[in-house]
Amino acid sequence: MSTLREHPLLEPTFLAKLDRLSLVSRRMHRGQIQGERRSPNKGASVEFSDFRTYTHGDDFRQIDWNAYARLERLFVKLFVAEEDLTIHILLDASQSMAWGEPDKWHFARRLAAALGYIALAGLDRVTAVALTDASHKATDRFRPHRGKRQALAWLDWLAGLQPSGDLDPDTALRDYRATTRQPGPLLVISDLLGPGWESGLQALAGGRFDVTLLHLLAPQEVSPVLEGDFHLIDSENGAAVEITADYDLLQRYRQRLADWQGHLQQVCASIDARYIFLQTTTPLEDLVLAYLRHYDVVR
Amino acid sequence: MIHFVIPLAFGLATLLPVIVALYFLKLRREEHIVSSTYLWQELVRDTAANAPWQRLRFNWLMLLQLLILISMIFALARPFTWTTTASGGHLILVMDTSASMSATDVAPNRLSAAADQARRLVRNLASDVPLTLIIAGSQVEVILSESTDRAQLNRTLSDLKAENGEADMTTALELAAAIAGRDPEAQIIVLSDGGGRLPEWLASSALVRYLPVGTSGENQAISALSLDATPAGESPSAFVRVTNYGSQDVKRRLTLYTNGILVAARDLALPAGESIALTLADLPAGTTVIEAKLDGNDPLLLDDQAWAVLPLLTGAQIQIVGPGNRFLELGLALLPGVQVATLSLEDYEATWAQVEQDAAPAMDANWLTIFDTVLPDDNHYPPGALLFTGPLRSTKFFSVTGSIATIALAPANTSDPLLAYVDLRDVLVQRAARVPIPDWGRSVIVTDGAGEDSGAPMLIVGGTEERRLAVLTFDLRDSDLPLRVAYPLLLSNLLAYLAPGAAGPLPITLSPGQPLAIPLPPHAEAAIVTRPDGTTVRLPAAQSAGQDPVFSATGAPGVYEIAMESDGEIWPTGQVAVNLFNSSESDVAPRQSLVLTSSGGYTVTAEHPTREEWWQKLAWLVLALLITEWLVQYRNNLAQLFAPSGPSKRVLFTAAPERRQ
Repeated sequence: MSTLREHPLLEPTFLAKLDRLSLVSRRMHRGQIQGERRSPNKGASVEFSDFRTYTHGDDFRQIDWNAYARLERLFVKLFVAEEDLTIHILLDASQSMAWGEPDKWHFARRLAAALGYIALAGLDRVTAVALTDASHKATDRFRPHRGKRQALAWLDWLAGLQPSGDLDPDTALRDYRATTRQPGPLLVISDLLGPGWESGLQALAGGRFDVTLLHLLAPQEVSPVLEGDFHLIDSENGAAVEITADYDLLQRYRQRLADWQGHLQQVCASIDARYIFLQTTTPLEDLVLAYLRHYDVVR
Repeated sequence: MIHFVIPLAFGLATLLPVIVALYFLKLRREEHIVSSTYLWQELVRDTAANAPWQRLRFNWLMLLQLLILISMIFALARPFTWTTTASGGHLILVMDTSASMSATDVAPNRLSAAADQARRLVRNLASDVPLTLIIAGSQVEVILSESTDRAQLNRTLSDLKAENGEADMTTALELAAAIAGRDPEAQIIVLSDGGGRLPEWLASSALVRYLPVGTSGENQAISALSLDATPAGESPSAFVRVTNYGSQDVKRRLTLYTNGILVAARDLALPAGESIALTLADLPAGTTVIEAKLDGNDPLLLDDQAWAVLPLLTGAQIQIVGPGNRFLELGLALLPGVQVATLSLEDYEATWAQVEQDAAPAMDANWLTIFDTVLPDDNHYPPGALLFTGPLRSTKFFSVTGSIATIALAPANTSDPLLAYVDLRDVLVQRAARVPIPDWGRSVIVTDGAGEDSGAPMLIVGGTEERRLAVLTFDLRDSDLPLRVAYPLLLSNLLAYLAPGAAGPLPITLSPGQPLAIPLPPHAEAAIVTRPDGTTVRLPAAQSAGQDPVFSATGAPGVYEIAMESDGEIWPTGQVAVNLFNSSESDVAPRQSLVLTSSGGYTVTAEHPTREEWWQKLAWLVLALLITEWLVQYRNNLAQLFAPSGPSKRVLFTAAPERRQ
């Protein structure tokens, strides 16, 4: 059983840097318990929100007697509620993630760990799902946890995941939406290789989730180093494609990749989601402390 | 036209379908696991399952490999073209500018064709290869010497003009060989039709190539023409010979003009390679020039026209009036070009009487009359020069005051040109007339010794306004002078003085370009030559004796008038006809070989253009195609090698969406 200080996913020095960050939510979401995030609900914080006409049953400790003195009518003062926030992390755990140099899967888990740790350290609630095939094992879901003490559990859960199978993202994302009631920021970490992501992402949209799509690819997927005739085998489903990797084909591949990314950006824009493209060659510290900060994912 | 040394190499073309077939065959591919084939699937549509063949698609590599194989096959077949290109480290061009090079069987003429050929040779030559241009005309001239200035060569070639004479190919080739001897990489190229004399042995190790110019040899020429007059004064006659140098029988019309007037026309059937000779007698009296023309066209017009002159003025007409003098007749007969007639005083006077009756005969300046011991009536002196020997009495030209006996002779002035080479020692005269020196004369020979007769003139020469005169005061028969060596020399000098037009024989005909030496008597100041076009050239007499002025501008065929200037007077001395009359030039058929034997041990009968092979260029093409194929094959790697940025930058700047506020 590893400790937080010796955990293989994140180094202690990096964790110390993450303590100073918090995840940015672009919208206010209702929480479950009192926390440190502003909620659309009215609550008992010290921050004034509004007046309301006193009705029977109201706590008359909240009556504004100064207003009564001037107006001879009873008004109740309302205050902003500060509640906790649920951060949803959806990690693509299909077999295609276990590919590339540096390894996409390792990189994705470390990225998820860092983001989850930031949330837990900020007293936010973290829940996560490893998106795999339709087997839906109990270990694929990280139930909502809150507080920095849960960080070790979070890291251990991530460390215990194994990529496998052929993902159906449309079904997986629809299932998640159907089974999750808590709104909040939703981070998807995936290589998005495969059909169904567009419809799945569109299903997530609808107001409850503040979606950020972290598109992760290995450099070999961005610019394949292939020369000659190959029998390409899909790591997820074993499908084969025969190619003659020459200059023209690789040029066309790059063009196809660029078109595909453009399409994903359009989909994200249509559902008010953020699209962020990442490569596994980027150092994780630079990514979190600078790059994601630049995009207001963390602050 | 392209030829091939090894046409069998084209059998390798059967490999071409093999290359194409390899692209038809489905390749055994290397298995490669990728994260997902999602992005690849749309790119690859050609996935015919399990078929051994695939659809042939355009492929740069296949195209390049086919081109490489085709180039290799052509290179192995060793294509070549016949060419006349030059090579080497130093090109020596020998251009024939003889008369036959003006033949028009190749347009515009052979010389222009040769110049074009020279330009083509030089165009294919590296620009730093030096060029030497030797013009082989009647004179050999090095126009360009080891020059790399191609523009100058072009200008020089454009300015070349064919001469009317024979080319001195011997000197030209020996000069070229001498120049080539300095450069082991030199190459001599002879641009000629093969006419002209060739050296039998050429001491050169340089490669000598002969590029013939011209196509046809169908030429006819007037190969001989002469005009003769009989001594009896009958009508002159002409001899003309027309030669057909071609290989086919032809008909040509020959026309003859005397002094510009058509006198005869003949249609000649000329068998191939043969000549026809004609003699035309009874030409009009007074004919001095005859011109022959061949009507119609042939490649060389220069030899279709010829001239001949009558040798009228080439000798002195001398008449001796007297009882007959063997010594005089013999002495004058020794002189060339002298026609001597002897007649008695009675006959002379009778002639004179007849002359007085008729019109005065046209006696020109060459007439010399010798009154040998006789004297005519004072009113019966003929025009022309006069020589008196042993006068017995006074005349209107001089006085006889007595006689002198037994005397030796001595020169009055040793530097007198009349006494050139004349040795008067031991010459004795038995008896002589005493003649004081008249106003018109000067003494040339005087008496020798002491006494009152010392220094008395023995030979007096001089001239009046009308004529030249000489008086030899003694009868030759009264002296031993005719037995001395001095006698013919003195007679010759005297004759040259009295009849200057007869100073020496002029040639009747010359070849174009052949220098004409004009013999002049010692007193002559200049020779004057009138060209066929009417222009005149004055040639001053040579300073030293024995050297005649030479007129070398005899390039244009035609009749040249020669005259002599003496004491400010012009004395016509003769005519010279310049004609081609050269069988080697008139035979314009281009020689297919120049038989030269060089010291390199091989015989140059070079005519054929060299074989220029192209396989080297094809080999370079194959190499270039191989490099191109390699570049195409590995262009992806090369593109990555020269990619402008690394992967981390690509993350930040290639796919970063705009920041949302």
